[in-house]
Amino acid sequence: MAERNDEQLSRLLKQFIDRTGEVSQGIDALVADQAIPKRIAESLACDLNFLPQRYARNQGTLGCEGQRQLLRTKVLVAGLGGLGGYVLEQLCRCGIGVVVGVDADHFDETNLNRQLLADLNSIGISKTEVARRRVTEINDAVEFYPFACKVEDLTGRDYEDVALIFDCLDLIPSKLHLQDMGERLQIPLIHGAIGGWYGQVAVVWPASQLLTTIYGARTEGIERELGNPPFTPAFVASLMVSEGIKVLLQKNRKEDSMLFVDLLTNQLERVNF
Amino acid sequence: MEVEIRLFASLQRYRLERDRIHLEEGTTVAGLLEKMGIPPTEAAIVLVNGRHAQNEQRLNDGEQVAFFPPIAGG
Repeated sequence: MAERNDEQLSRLLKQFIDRTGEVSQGIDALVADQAIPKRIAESLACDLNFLPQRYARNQGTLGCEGQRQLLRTKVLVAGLGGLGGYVLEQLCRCGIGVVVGVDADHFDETNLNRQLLADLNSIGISKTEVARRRVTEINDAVEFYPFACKVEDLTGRDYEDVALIFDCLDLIPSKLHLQDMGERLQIPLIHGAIGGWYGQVAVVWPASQLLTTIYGARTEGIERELGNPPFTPAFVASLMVSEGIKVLLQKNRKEDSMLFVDLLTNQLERVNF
Repeated sequence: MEVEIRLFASLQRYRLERDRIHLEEGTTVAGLLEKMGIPPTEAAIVLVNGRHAQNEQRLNDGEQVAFFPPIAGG
Protein backbone atom coordinates (compact mmCIF):
# COMPACT_ATOMS: atom_id res chain seq x y z
CA MET A 1 0.00 0.00 0.00
CA ALA A 2 1.38 3.38 -1.00
CA GLU A 3 2.08 5.66 1.95
CA ARG A 4 -0.31 8.57 2.06
CA ASN A 5 0.51 12.05 3.28
CA ASP A 6 -1.35 13.79 6.10
CA GLU A 7 -3.61 15.66 3.71
CA GLN A 8 -4.75 12.48 2.00
CA LEU A 9 -5.20 10.72 5.34
CA SER A 10 -7.25 13.66 6.64
CA ARG A 11 -9.54 13.45 3.64
CA LEU A 12 -9.96 9.74 4.19
CA LEU A 13 -10.62 10.24 7.90
CA LYS A 14 -13.31 12.82 7.11
CA GLN A 15 -15.01 10.26 4.87
CA PHE A 16 -14.86 7.60 7.59
CA ILE A 17 -16.25 10.02 10.20
CA ASP A 18 -19.07 11.08 7.84
CA ARG A 19 -19.87 7.44 7.08
CA THR A 20 -19.83 6.17 10.68
CA GLY A 21 -21.21 9.37 12.20
CA GLU A 22 -18.74 9.12 15.11
CA VAL A 23 -15.24 10.53 15.54
CA SER A 24 -13.91 7.51 17.47
CA GLN A 25 -15.31 5.05 14.92
CA GLY A 26 -13.87 7.11 12.08
CA ILE A 27 -10.46 7.05 13.80
CA ASP A 28 -10.62 3.27 14.33
CA ALA A 29 -11.63 2.78 10.68
CA LEU A 30 -8.69 4.86 9.47
CA VAL A 31 -6.26 2.96 11.73
CA ALA A 32 -7.56 -0.37 10.39
CA ASP A 33 -7.61 0.77 6.76
CA GLN A 34 -4.22 2.51 6.65
CA ALA A 35 -2.27 0.65 9.36
CA ILE A 36 -1.17 3.90 11.00
CA PRO A 37 -0.66 4.51 14.74
CA LYS A 38 -3.84 5.50 16.55
CA ARG A 39 -2.21 8.67 17.92
CA ILE A 40 -1.57 9.83 14.35
CA ALA A 41 -5.21 9.20 13.41
CA GLU A 42 -6.29 11.10 16.53
CA SER A 43 -3.99 14.02 15.65
CA LEU A 44 -5.50 14.15 12.16
CA ALA A 45 -8.96 14.29 13.75
CA CYS A 46 -7.75 17.28 15.81
CA ASP A 47 -6.64 18.94 12.55
CA LEU A 48 -10.23 18.59 11.34
CA ASN A 49 -11.48 20.07 14.65
CA PHE A 50 -12.95 16.70 15.61
CA LEU A 51 -11.50 16.20 19.07
CA PRO A 52 -11.59 12.54 20.19
CA GLN A 53 -14.05 12.25 23.09
CA ARG A 54 -11.39 11.12 25.57
CA TYR A 55 -9.81 14.56 25.25
CA ALA A 56 -13.11 16.47 25.43
CA ARG A 57 -12.30 17.93 28.88
CA ASN A 58 -8.81 18.93 27.71
CA GLN A 59 -10.25 21.11 24.96
CA GLY A 60 -10.90 24.33 26.86
CA THR A 61 -7.36 24.28 28.23
CA LEU A 62 -5.29 22.73 25.44
CA GLY A 63 -7.47 23.34 22.37
CA CYS A 64 -7.56 21.17 19.24
CA GLU A 65 -4.22 22.53 18.04
CA GLY A 66 -2.54 21.89 21.41
CA GLN A 67 -3.98 18.39 21.52
CA ARG A 68 -2.71 17.72 18.01
CA GLN A 69 0.78 18.87 19.01
CA LEU A 70 0.82 16.67 22.12
CA LEU A 71 -0.26 13.59 20.14
CA ARG A 72 2.72 14.20 17.85
CA THR A 73 5.14 14.59 20.78
CA LYS A 74 7.58 12.12 22.34
CA VAL A 75 8.79 12.50 25.92
CA LEU A 76 11.01 10.49 28.25
CA VAL A 77 10.09 9.75 31.87
CA ALA A 78 13.15 8.82 33.94
CA GLY A 79 12.05 6.99 37.07
CA LEU A 80 8.64 5.31 37.45
CA GLY A 81 8.32 5.47 41.23
CA GLY A 82 6.74 8.17 43.40
CA LEU A 83 6.88 11.06 40.95
CA GLY A 84 7.14 9.00 37.76
CA GLY A 85 3.94 7.01 38.35
CA TYR A 86 1.83 10.15 38.66
CA VAL A 87 3.68 11.90 35.84
CA LEU A 88 3.09 8.95 33.50
CA GLU A 89 -0.59 8.78 34.46
CA GLN A 90 -1.17 12.44 33.64
CA LEU A 91 0.86 12.38 30.43
CA CYS A 92 -1.33 9.53 29.14
CA ARG A 93 -4.50 11.42 30.05
CA CYS A 94 -3.09 14.53 28.38
CA GLY A 95 -2.66 12.45 25.23
CA ILE A 96 1.11 12.69 24.82
CA GLY A 97 1.74 10.55 21.72
CA VAL A 98 4.88 8.65 22.68
CA VAL A 99 6.35 8.02 26.13
CA VAL A 100 9.69 6.39 26.87
CA GLY A 101 9.69 5.02 30.44
CA VAL A 102 12.96 4.22 32.21
CA ASP A 103 13.39 2.39 35.52
CA ALA A 104 15.62 -0.51 36.54
CA ASP A 105 13.66 -1.43 39.69
CA HIS A 106 10.91 -3.83 40.69
CA PHE A 107 8.06 -2.84 43.02
CA ASP A 108 8.42 -3.70 46.69
CA GLU A 109 6.32 -3.17 49.81
CA THR A 110 8.00 0.11 50.75
CA ASN A 111 6.58 1.62 47.52
CA LEU A 112 2.94 1.01 48.54
CA ASN A 113 2.52 4.19 50.60
CA ARG A 114 3.01 6.58 47.71
CA GLN A 115 3.70 5.10 44.28
CA LEU A 116 0.62 5.13 42.06
CA LEU A 117 1.74 2.08 40.09
CA ALA A 118 2.42 0.03 43.23
CA ASP A 119 -0.33 -2.23 44.56
CA LEU A 120 -0.51 -5.68 46.10
CA ASN A 121 -0.49 -7.29 42.67
CA SER A 122 2.57 -5.43 41.41
CA ILE A 123 5.03 -6.40 44.17
CA GLY A 124 8.05 -8.09 42.59
CA ILE A 125 7.14 -6.99 39.05
CA SER A 126 9.35 -4.61 37.11
CA LYS A 127 8.21 -1.00 37.20
CA THR A 128 8.41 -0.67 33.42
CA GLU A 129 6.13 -3.68 32.92
CA VAL A 130 3.49 -2.37 35.35
CA ALA A 131 3.78 1.05 33.67
CA ARG A 132 3.28 -0.53 30.24
CA ARG A 133 0.06 -2.21 31.39
CA ARG A 134 -1.21 0.99 33.01
CA VAL A 135 -0.63 3.05 29.85
CA THR A 136 -2.68 0.54 27.84
CA GLU A 137 -5.50 0.72 30.40
CA ILE A 138 -5.65 4.52 30.31
CA ASN A 139 -5.04 5.43 26.68
CA ASP A 140 -4.49 2.91 23.88
CA ALA A 141 -3.36 5.67 21.52
CA VAL A 142 -0.21 6.33 23.59
CA GLU A 143 2.88 4.45 22.40
CA PHE A 144 4.98 3.37 25.37
CA TYR A 145 8.59 2.23 25.08
CA PRO A 146 9.91 0.67 28.32
CA PHE A 147 13.59 0.57 29.24
CA ALA A 148 14.23 -1.59 32.31
CA CYS A 149 17.63 -0.08 33.00
CA LYS A 150 19.34 2.86 34.68
CA VAL A 151 19.37 6.18 32.82
CA GLU A 152 23.15 5.89 32.68
CA ASP A 153 22.69 2.82 30.43
CA LEU A 154 20.68 4.71 27.79
CA THR A 155 22.47 5.82 24.64
CA GLY A 156 21.93 9.04 22.71
CA ARG A 157 19.90 7.00 20.22
CA ASP A 158 17.32 6.13 22.89
CA TYR A 159 16.53 9.86 23.11
CA GLU A 160 15.78 10.15 19.38
CA ASP A 161 12.91 12.62 18.75
CA VAL A 162 12.42 13.15 22.50
CA ALA A 163 11.15 16.71 22.99
CA LEU A 164 11.14 16.76 26.79
CA ILE A 165 12.64 14.76 29.66
CA PHE A 166 10.95 14.32 33.05
CA ASP A 167 13.41 13.87 35.92
CA CYS A 168 11.56 11.68 38.42
CA LEU A 169 14.76 10.08 39.74
CA ASP A 170 15.84 9.82 43.38
CA LEU A 171 19.62 9.92 43.04
CA ILE A 172 21.49 13.20 42.57
CA PRO A 173 24.27 11.72 40.36
CA SER A 174 21.60 10.24 38.04
CA LYS A 175 19.76 13.57 37.95
CA LEU A 176 23.00 15.27 36.94
CA HIS A 177 23.57 12.64 34.25
CA LEU A 178 20.11 13.39 32.85
CA GLN A 179 20.95 17.09 32.86
CA ASP A 180 24.12 16.35 30.85
CA MET A 181 22.16 14.30 28.31
CA GLY A 182 19.60 17.08 27.99
CA GLU A 183 22.39 19.57 27.40
CA ARG A 184 24.18 17.34 24.88
CA LEU A 185 20.99 16.63 22.92
CA GLN A 186 19.43 20.09 23.45
CA ILE A 187 16.36 18.70 25.22
CA PRO A 188 14.76 20.65 28.09
CA LEU A 189 14.30 18.79 31.37
CA ILE A 190 11.47 19.02 33.88
CA HIS A 191 13.14 18.49 37.24
CA GLY A 192 11.18 17.28 40.22
CA ALA A 193 12.25 16.21 43.70
CA ILE A 194 10.46 15.38 46.94
CA GLY A 195 11.27 14.85 50.62
CA GLY A 196 8.79 14.88 53.52
CA TRP A 197 6.28 17.74 53.21
CA TYR A 198 8.53 19.44 50.70
CA GLY A 199 9.33 19.36 47.01
CA GLN A 200 10.74 21.35 44.14
CA VAL A 201 10.08 21.70 40.43
CA ALA A 202 12.13 23.45 37.77
CA VAL A 203 12.53 23.63 34.03
CA VAL A 204 16.18 22.93 33.26
CA TRP A 205 16.91 24.53 29.91
CA PRO A 206 19.87 23.03 28.00
CA ALA A 207 23.18 24.66 29.02
CA SER A 208 21.69 26.29 32.13
CA GLN A 209 23.34 23.71 34.43
CA LEU A 210 20.59 24.55 36.92
CA LEU A 211 20.83 21.22 38.77
CA THR A 212 24.55 21.75 39.31
CA THR A 213 23.73 25.13 40.85
CA ILE A 214 21.03 23.57 43.04
CA TYR A 215 22.92 20.49 44.25
CA GLY A 216 26.59 21.45 44.04
CA ALA A 217 28.60 18.47 45.24
CA ARG A 218 25.81 17.06 47.42
CA THR A 219 24.85 13.43 47.00
CA GLU A 220 21.62 13.28 49.02
CA GLY A 221 18.80 15.44 50.33
CA ILE A 222 16.37 15.72 53.23
CA GLU A 223 14.35 12.72 51.97
CA ARG A 224 16.91 10.44 53.64
CA GLU A 225 15.69 11.70 57.00
CA LEU A 226 12.07 12.67 56.24
CA GLY A 227 11.07 9.87 53.85
CA ASN A 228 8.26 10.41 51.33
CA PRO A 229 4.60 10.51 52.41
CA PRO A 230 1.74 9.83 49.90
CA PHE A 231 0.55 13.37 49.17
CA THR A 232 3.81 15.10 48.21
CA PRO A 233 4.62 13.09 45.03
CA ALA A 234 1.08 13.56 43.69
CA PHE A 235 1.28 17.33 44.19
CA VAL A 236 4.80 17.79 42.82
CA ALA A 237 4.15 15.46 39.86
CA SER A 238 1.13 17.58 38.90
CA LEU A 239 3.31 20.69 38.90
CA MET A 240 5.88 18.85 36.76
CA VAL A 241 3.29 17.87 34.17
CA SER A 242 1.74 21.32 33.97
CA GLU A 243 5.23 22.83 33.57
CA GLY A 244 5.99 20.23 30.90
CA ILE A 245 2.82 20.91 28.95
CA LYS A 246 3.66 24.63 29.02
CA VAL A 247 7.13 23.93 27.60
CA LEU A 248 5.70 21.70 24.86
CA LEU A 249 3.03 24.23 23.90
CA GLN A 250 5.36 27.22 24.31
CA LYS A 251 3.30 28.82 27.03
CA ASN A 252 6.06 29.68 29.52
CA ARG A 253 8.96 32.08 29.69
CA LYS A 254 12.48 30.76 29.28
CA GLU A 255 13.96 31.59 32.67
CA ASP A 256 16.09 29.84 35.26
CA SER A 257 13.87 29.47 38.28
CA MET A 258 12.60 26.83 40.66
CA LEU A 259 9.34 26.41 42.48
CA PHE A 260 9.79 25.31 46.09
CA VAL A 261 6.78 23.56 47.64
CA ASP A 262 6.06 23.45 51.36
CA LEU A 263 2.90 21.44 52.06
CA LEU A 264 3.29 21.87 55.83
CA THR A 265 2.74 25.63 55.72
CA ASN A 266 1.08 25.64 52.26
CA GLN A 267 3.66 27.92 50.70
CA LEU A 268 4.96 28.03 47.14
CA GLU A 269 8.16 30.00 46.79
CA ARG A 270 9.70 30.91 43.44
CA VAL A 271 13.49 30.90 43.50
CA ASN A 272 15.21 32.87 40.73
CA PHE A 273 18.74 32.00 39.68
CA MET B 1 24.09 45.58 60.91
CA GLU B 2 21.01 43.39 60.82
CA VAL B 3 19.69 40.98 58.21
CA GLU B 4 16.34 39.23 57.98
CA ILE B 5 16.36 35.43 57.94
CA ARG B 6 13.92 33.11 56.14
CA LEU B 7 14.32 29.38 56.71
CA PHE B 8 12.53 26.81 54.57
CA ALA B 9 11.42 23.24 55.22
CA SER B 10 13.73 21.22 57.48
CA LEU B 11 15.93 24.28 58.11
CA GLN B 12 13.17 25.68 60.34
CA ARG B 13 14.82 23.74 63.15
CA TYR B 14 17.45 26.49 63.22
CA ARG B 15 14.81 29.19 63.69
CA LEU B 16 15.77 32.10 65.91
CA GLU B 17 13.55 33.78 68.48
CA ARG B 18 13.09 36.65 66.04
CA ASP B 19 13.55 36.63 62.29
CA ARG B 20 16.36 39.22 62.35
CA ILE B 21 19.95 38.68 63.39
CA HIS B 22 22.70 41.15 64.29
CA LEU B 23 25.95 40.65 62.35
CA GLU B 24 29.32 42.34 62.18
CA GLU B 25 29.95 44.47 59.11
CA GLY B 26 31.34 42.45 56.22
CA THR B 27 29.87 39.11 57.33
CA THR B 28 29.45 36.68 54.44
CA VAL B 29 26.71 34.11 53.84
CA ALA B 30 29.13 31.44 55.12
CA GLY B 31 29.72 33.49 58.27
CA LEU B 32 25.97 33.79 58.82
CA LEU B 33 25.52 30.03 58.46
CA GLU B 34 28.27 29.45 61.00
CA LYS B 35 26.76 31.93 63.46
CA MET B 36 23.36 30.20 63.16
CA GLY B 37 24.90 26.74 63.55
CA ILE B 38 23.66 25.56 60.12
CA PRO B 39 26.05 23.09 58.44
CA PRO B 40 26.76 24.37 54.89
CA THR B 41 25.71 20.97 53.48
CA GLU B 42 22.19 21.54 54.83
CA ALA B 43 21.69 24.85 53.00
CA ALA B 44 21.62 23.94 49.31
CA ILE B 45 20.20 27.19 48.01
CA VAL B 46 20.82 30.67 49.38
CA LEU B 47 18.91 33.73 48.25
CA VAL B 48 19.81 37.28 49.17
CA ASN B 49 16.95 39.68 48.51
CA GLY B 50 15.37 37.01 46.32
CA ARG B 51 18.45 36.45 44.15
CA HIS B 52 20.62 33.35 44.20
CA ALA B 53 23.83 33.93 46.16
CA GLN B 54 27.10 32.13 46.84
CA ASN B 55 28.50 31.45 50.31
CA GLU B 56 31.28 34.03 49.79
CA GLN B 57 28.82 36.88 49.20
CA ARG B 58 29.10 39.72 51.74
CA LEU B 59 25.87 40.79 53.36
CA ASN B 60 24.59 44.34 53.84
CA ASP B 61 22.37 45.89 56.46
CA GLY B 62 18.66 45.30 55.87
CA GLU B 63 19.08 42.44 53.37
CA GLN B 64 16.87 39.39 53.48
CA VAL B 65 18.59 35.99 53.40
CA ALA B 66 16.68 32.79 52.61
CA PHE B 67 17.98 29.23 53.02
CA PHE B 68 16.56 26.10 51.34
CA PRO B 69 17.65 22.51 52.04
CA PRO B 70 18.60 19.98 49.32
CA ILE B 71 15.70 17.77 48.15
CA ALA B 72 16.36 14.83 45.87
CA GLY B 73 13.70 12.15 46.40
CA GLY B 74 11.63 10.76 43.57
